Amino acid sequence: MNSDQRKALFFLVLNVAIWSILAFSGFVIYLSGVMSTLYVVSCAGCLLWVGLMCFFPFSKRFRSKTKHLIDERELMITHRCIFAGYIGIWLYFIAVSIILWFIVGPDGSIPIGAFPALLYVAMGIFSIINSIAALILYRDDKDQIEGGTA
Amino acid sequence: MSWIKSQKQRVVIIISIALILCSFLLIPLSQKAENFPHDIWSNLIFIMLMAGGGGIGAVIGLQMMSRRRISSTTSNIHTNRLKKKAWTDFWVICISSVVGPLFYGFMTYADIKGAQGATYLIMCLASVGLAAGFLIFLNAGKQKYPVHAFDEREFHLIHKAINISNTIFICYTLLVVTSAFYIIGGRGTVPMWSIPVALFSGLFVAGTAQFLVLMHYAREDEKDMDMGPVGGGNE
Repeated sequence: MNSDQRKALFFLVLNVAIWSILAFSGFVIYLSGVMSTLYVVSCAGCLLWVGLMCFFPFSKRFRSKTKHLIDERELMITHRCIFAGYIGIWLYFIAVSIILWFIVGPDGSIPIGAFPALLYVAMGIFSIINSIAALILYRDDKDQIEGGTA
Repeated sequence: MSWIKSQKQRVVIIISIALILCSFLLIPLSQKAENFPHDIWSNLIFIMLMAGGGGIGAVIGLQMMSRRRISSTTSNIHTNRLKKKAWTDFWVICISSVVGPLFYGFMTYADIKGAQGATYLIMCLASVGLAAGFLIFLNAGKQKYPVHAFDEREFHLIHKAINISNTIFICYTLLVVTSAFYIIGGRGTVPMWSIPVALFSGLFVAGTAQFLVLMHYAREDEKDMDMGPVGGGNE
């Protein structure tokens, strides 16, 4: 597993953790029906600390271990990962439009506060798909190299 | 701050942390504002999404900045294929941008007027569209260089153009959301029909950007070809 794969795996786990916290908190709030400011601040604080872990791969120690030159093959994989992420975002936006159409109705309206939330979910989807695509493409690439040399 | 690679990354980190911290301010602000939904747990998801999204946005920004950009484009004689693809895609986008909203408008009108069949038709079409999109998504991961259509360099340029156009689409979406927030206000509502319209307009903007970028690459290649392979027409 090279450094890019490790980084992709790290971000995948981190994103899954962040969105799990969000989903779990929402589920708990929905079930309990009781809400306090303390609970909101606790959940947001928890997310803040998990979110700050995103900066770990940019620390000096981590970077010094994983410093390497990027070749054309890795650049192509990066482009394809970003491409996969963007396709995921497009599908997400189309799905959101359709689902909202059926929930609200064609003559209904949506609160404006929902839009930034939709964008944040889109960013999460992009990041998760990007990481998964990186893992899959590097694995396939390694399989091909190993198969070719053998 | 020596562990940060460049000044741009520092700016991204500072903005992200500021965004995350600002999300906490929404709690006291929502209590003071008039007619703001005081039901705090209905705002919880939004607040937490801001915190989580700020972190994820920072990661995406830093990840994109930390990549080394290599542009190794050598000129060859296949420029016309890029131009052809740019024009084909642009026409497809133009036709989609006209037909899609017209069809959507008609269906919405029919549904509002009580035509129940319109809902089922849209449901079927949406299901087929999503399934097709998902298949494209799966194929995109397996796609290799289509030698019969484009060479490696062209494929690279097309991918680059698509990524640029998608980035522009995201910027456009952010602009639309921010503008709507400031124009309508935090407690306003947006009619449902505006979302697909925004999506179609975003598709058109992204398609136009892709067309312009591909035409730019094609023009650069044409210039290189005119100058000759050694880099000068003086010999």
